[in-house]
Parts: sequence; structure tokens; C-alpha cells
Amino acid sequence: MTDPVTTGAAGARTLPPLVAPGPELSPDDLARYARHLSLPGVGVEGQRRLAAARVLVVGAGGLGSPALLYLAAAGVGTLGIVDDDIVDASNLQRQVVHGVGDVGRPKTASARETLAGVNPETQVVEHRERLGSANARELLAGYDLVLDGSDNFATRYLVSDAAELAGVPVVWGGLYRFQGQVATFWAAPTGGVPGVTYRDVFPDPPPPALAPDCATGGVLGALCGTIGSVMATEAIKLITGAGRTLLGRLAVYDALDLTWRHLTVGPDPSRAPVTTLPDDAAYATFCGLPPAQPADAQASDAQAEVDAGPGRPASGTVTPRELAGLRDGAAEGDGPFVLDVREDWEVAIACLVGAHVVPSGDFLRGDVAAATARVTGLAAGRTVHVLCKSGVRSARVAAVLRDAGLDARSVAGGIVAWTRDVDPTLRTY
Amino acid sequence: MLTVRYFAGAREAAGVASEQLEVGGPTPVAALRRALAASRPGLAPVLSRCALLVAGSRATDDTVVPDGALVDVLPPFAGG
Repeated sequence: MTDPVTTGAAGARTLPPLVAPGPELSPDDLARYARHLSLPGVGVEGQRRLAAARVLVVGAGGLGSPALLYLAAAGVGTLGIVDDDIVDASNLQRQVVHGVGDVGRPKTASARETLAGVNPETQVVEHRERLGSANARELLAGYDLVLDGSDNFATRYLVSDAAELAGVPVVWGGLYRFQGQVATFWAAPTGGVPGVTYRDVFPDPPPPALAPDCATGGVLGALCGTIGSVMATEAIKLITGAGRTLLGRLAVYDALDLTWRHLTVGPDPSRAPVTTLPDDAAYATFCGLPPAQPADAQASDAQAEVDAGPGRPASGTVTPRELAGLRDGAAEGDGPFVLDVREDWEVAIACLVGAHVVPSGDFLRGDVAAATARVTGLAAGRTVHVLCKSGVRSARVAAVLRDAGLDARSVAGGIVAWTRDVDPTLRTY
Repeated sequence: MLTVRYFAGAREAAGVASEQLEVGGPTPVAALRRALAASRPGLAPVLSRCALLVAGSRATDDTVVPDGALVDVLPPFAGG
């Protein structure tokens, strides 16, 4: 099916170059960037603009990795990286700026080292911290534009708001499974072009219970390269003024179907301009999360805390330490009943000895009554402690079991929290 | 008659990339959402979290969609 043409007035989105040219290029630079120098719209002047450009990349993950590599290779003068995360083995399938030897290291340090090997002329600034309301304005102030490759809704609204206040454009990308979205947002562009921000397009985040869940959803590694590379392309076009950017459009990519589709996006006249940054708690609340999110929590982990905020378990949940206490205090063969609702491959990575494994899909799709009846039989009147990776799936299954009349409790934070709080010898993923 | 385009997860849930919808004149977005959910049950849970853009602009439930408009249904996702 062919989409209607949505390009609008062709050429209307041509923007003046964002960055003034830096000094003359050295003979070594002329040789290095030769393939750029003969490009119309880039050329020697565009290359000097790239050398003078300062780009902040939020998240050295799936999107940040390819974007950083291409921007460094392209000769962007300064690349700032905001990330407080550590490289995990499960990142390596898609986060190509990190390698096996980087597991356990800060992502900013790993990325800086890789980028130094690609282009030692690029100055890489490590911001080894989580982007928050308190540091966002100061961080963005030093940069010409921002690439948003973060992994949660709260950070995306924060980046949008901070960029609107700073007056800088945001090249934004998002991923889920085999699909990607990419756009260039700018509240008040130069050149008299109408502005549009993330908030104009996505005024409300999805409720956490309906938000795509990375733990069960997954993401195709090579998709990150596609979308991250478009983000780098958009950054280069903004810096040099080449071509027509995505400002005013949003591109949607489907890797399985191998199609690109475009939407026109425009400002929402009813939206009040951003004049101040609310605090982190306000962003969390806006996204349906408890305010005191642990600094190291992933988005999916934070969702897991919806029923039980950190340190204050609500009814229907049990903390890993509480469950460990029940297991330790039980006589041989009389331990608490644990229902592990993860997939078999997840259990093969890290398993809780003695747990009964029934994947969550059995309770959420298909013959729910049969699965529930089976658990009722296995539990034999005992409390059912439901475990998954981060607590999202287990909360859903526990709710189903409670509806069926069982005493079911979700293990808050899942096997991730269990590994952190009870048994650090388990493998993480 | 409206043209409704479904993107990403909304396309999967709807089973089609786009469709023509007879609505019999200008329609409030809230009514359009109900009509879409009713005509494609698989779409209902996804639709509730989707942004609806009418001719490229954000539409609230009160927005009246003019006849002949292009409506885009886009789910947000934050993975990176």
C-alpha cells in the first residue's frame, strides 16, 4: 500500500548551518576527510563546521553506539557522552562501541577509548552521570545539538524540555523489536521554520503497564545501526546545513518489512512553551513511575516498581530479601512456592533453584484457566511467589492468579533484584 | 471519508498499513478512537497508548476531525 505524499512544501525545511566553520584544515585532515570534501553541501567549509561542532549524545547504548562511531569518524570536534551505566554482556549484541573486554566498565570510558581509536582528533567528554533535572541545563549549555538515544520515557521528556530551554535541536530515535522511529525536533529553529518538539507529537507517555517492555520485547541489534546512522546523518546535516532535515517529519522504519514511512509532524498550538524544568520526581510521576527511582535502574526495572516503590513494598509483592528469609527459615522440602514466569532461555542464564517454571505467556494468552489450575494444584494452598526478570511480567501474572483466588505475590525487581540483593553469583542478562 | 494510517505496533495490531474509513462527516477524536477500536478489536489495547495526529498535528479527544483528513496512529516507544 502506498502512503499519501506527506513531504509538504519540498525544501521548506532547509536550515542554515548550525555551526560556524572552525580553522583551516591541515593537509592531514584534507586527506582524511577527502570523501567528504568533494560532496556538494559538505565540502571543505562543511568539514570545518564539523570540526567546530559540539554534539551531546544521551546514552552510549544501542543508538548512541553507531551514532558516536559515525560522528567521530566524520570529524565532529567534540562529542559529549551522558551515561551512568556499566557495560553488560547483554549489551554487546547491539551496542557496537563496546567490546567483550569492556564488560563491567563504565560505558562512557569504554566509548571514549573506542572513539579515540577511530579518530584521536575528536575530543570526547565523559559525563558519567544520569541525565536529570538538576544537571540537564548545564550539560546541554555546552553543546550545539543533542542526540537522544536514551532508553526511557522520563529521560526523553527531560531531554526535549531541556533542549527547548537551551534552544538547541534534538535528533531523536526510538527502538522496539524490529521497528525504529527517528525525527529531528527543535522548538524554535533558525531560518523562520516552524518548530516542533517531542512533546508536540507525544504529549503523554504510555502508562507503565502498557509501555513496551524491553525484557520481553527485545530489539534487533542491526536495527540500532540503521536508526543510529540516520541520527548521525541528521546531526551532520544540521551542522553543515546540507539537504533537508527530518524537522517537521517523523520517519518510521520496519526492519522485517524493510519499509520506511514518513509522517508530517507539527507544533501543537495548545501546548504551553517550556519555561522551567520540573524536578526528577515530576518527570517520574508524569511517566507513572514512583519518584525515588534507583539511579541504576533501567526503564523496565523502574516499571517493576510500580506496585512497590523501593523500600515500601505494597501488598501483592515480596522483596527478594523477604523471599530469601522465607527460604532460609524453611525446613528441607518445605520452602516457599516460587513460580518463575520467565522463558526457558532466561532460566538457562540464571535460575532460582526449586522454582517451578511456567512462562508468563501461559497466564496472559491462550488457555489461562488451565495454567491457573495447574498452579493452584502445585501451590496446594501455599502463597505463590511470582518471579520474572525485573518484576513487570510477574506483577501481571500475580494479578491474574489473585483474580483466580490465589494468594500470589510478585517478587519486586525480579531476578535482577535477587541477584543484586541476595545472590550476586548469578549471571545477569 | 478519512484516511487512517497505522505505524509500527499499531500497524501490526490493525493488520493493515492504512485504510479508508467512512465516518459520515466531521468526527470528534474520542468518537473516532471508539470506532477504530470497535472495528478492529486487536487494535484496542494498542490504540489507547497511541498518539493520534490529524494532518500532522496532535489531536486531543475534543479535536474534530474534518472529512477527508489524514489521521496517523503512532505508538510511542522509548527503547534506545
